[in-house]
Amino acid sequence: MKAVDNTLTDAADTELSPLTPRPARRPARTRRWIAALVTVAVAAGVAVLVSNLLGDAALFFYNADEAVERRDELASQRFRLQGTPLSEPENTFWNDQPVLAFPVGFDGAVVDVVHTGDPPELFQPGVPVVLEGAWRQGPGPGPVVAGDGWHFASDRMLVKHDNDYRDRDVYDERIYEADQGGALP
Amino acid sequence: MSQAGYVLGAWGVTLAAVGIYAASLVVRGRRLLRRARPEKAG
Amino acid sequence: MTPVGSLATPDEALVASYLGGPARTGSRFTFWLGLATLIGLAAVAALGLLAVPADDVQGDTVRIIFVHVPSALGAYAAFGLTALGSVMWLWRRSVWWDVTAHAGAEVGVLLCGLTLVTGMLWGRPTWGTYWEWGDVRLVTTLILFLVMVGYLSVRALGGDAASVATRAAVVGLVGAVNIPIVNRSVNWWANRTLHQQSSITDGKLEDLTLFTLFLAFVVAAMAICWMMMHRFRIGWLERQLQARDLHDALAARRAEANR
Repeated sequence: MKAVDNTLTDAADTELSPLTPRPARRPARTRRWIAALVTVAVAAGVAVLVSNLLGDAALFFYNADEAVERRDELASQRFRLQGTPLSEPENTFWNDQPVLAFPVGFDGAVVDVVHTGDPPELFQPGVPVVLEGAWRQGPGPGPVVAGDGWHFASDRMLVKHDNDYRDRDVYDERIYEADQGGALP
Repeated sequence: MSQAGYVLGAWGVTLAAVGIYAASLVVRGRRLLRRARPEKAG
Repeated sequence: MTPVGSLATPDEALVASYLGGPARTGSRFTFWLGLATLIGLAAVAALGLLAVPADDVQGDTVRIIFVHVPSALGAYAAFGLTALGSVMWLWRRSVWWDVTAHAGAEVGVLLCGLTLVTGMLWGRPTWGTYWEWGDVRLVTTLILFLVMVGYLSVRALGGDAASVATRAAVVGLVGAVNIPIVNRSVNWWANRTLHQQSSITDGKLEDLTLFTLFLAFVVAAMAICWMMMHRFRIGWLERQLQARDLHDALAARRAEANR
């Protein structure tokens, strides 16, 4: 090609020849290889994510009432439970471990939670949380609110912020609402 | 990291990415137009 | 808006029109649009970072919504253009729409990536985690992002322009199917995501916060228009130059044969 170019062009600069491919920053072949690799990687990634979503891993949490309902079925299995903390947590000890004990509620059901580990910064009464752990028989160390002979032992906590944005003036109102929630069954 | 760190991080990333992309568009456009000019390209 | 419209003129006209013009893809319109965007951005930053009150629970991290939510909606809009452009390419073989689709994908990938990053930066202080693999909102957004990265990489694979456009259009439509899934995921699978449902449609934002968010939408829309116009002109110019190079090459071959 190059030889042909030179014979064809009158201009001194062979770069001007129409037959010379325009210089790319990377050779076209390398760029195509990168594009091919990216395409394959993306396709594989999407396949993994979709199958993951359609599989069991996609079930993110049971609300507290569902978790109570499915207690037999769940047995000692690990799962995630969502509920709203109904009161300030009690700092106490359980099997020589420092724990937080507090009740969470959802749709009328109440669960006593014993949580090991640091809670997220935003953890506070009235703001829903998702807890990862399992059912344990027997009352926990803290206040017994549910009083059904079970507690939920969790070791991971995420705050599930709802879509309710308010400025700080409304804070007291929210605490009041949470307290009202605490008066559930 | 403090809350302000996350906030400034998110704003910073957004403004920087959009700014760099916008600048790259201008540069790409200029490069192409330089090629389009007959006295400078084929 | 005339510059974009005028680009639809057939083939050589565009290159020719640029030959005597300025060496940039900007026009008087995009100049003023860009300037207005910068001013708007300063206003959003002043309101969003300083004037808007902190949230009672989230504190200052609420200020991230002013970049996160406009990025997300902007990504939907840009990918929507990719979908529309893909349909118009497949249906009408419209090069104009194919170039628009490509532009939308590039701008959308940028915005979708920003949605993911700013979301993670909000998630860590709010939820207590950057990322959860089991969360449908997060993972469907990542899938949307990856499919559209795939769109760009399919385009980069090369080949003749028409078959590249057709392959890409199919990928673009697959990606677009994901848009409503991502958007509705918080309602369809409320117990599979930490992500809150829409705060705007439920009217759960304070007045100034809401105003700032709407201003941020307007500014984001202007920024997206600016980027789309520039990116479109680049795409269109690339097509014209390819066509011209091909034409020149053919002419040279013909000259070669005539020797």
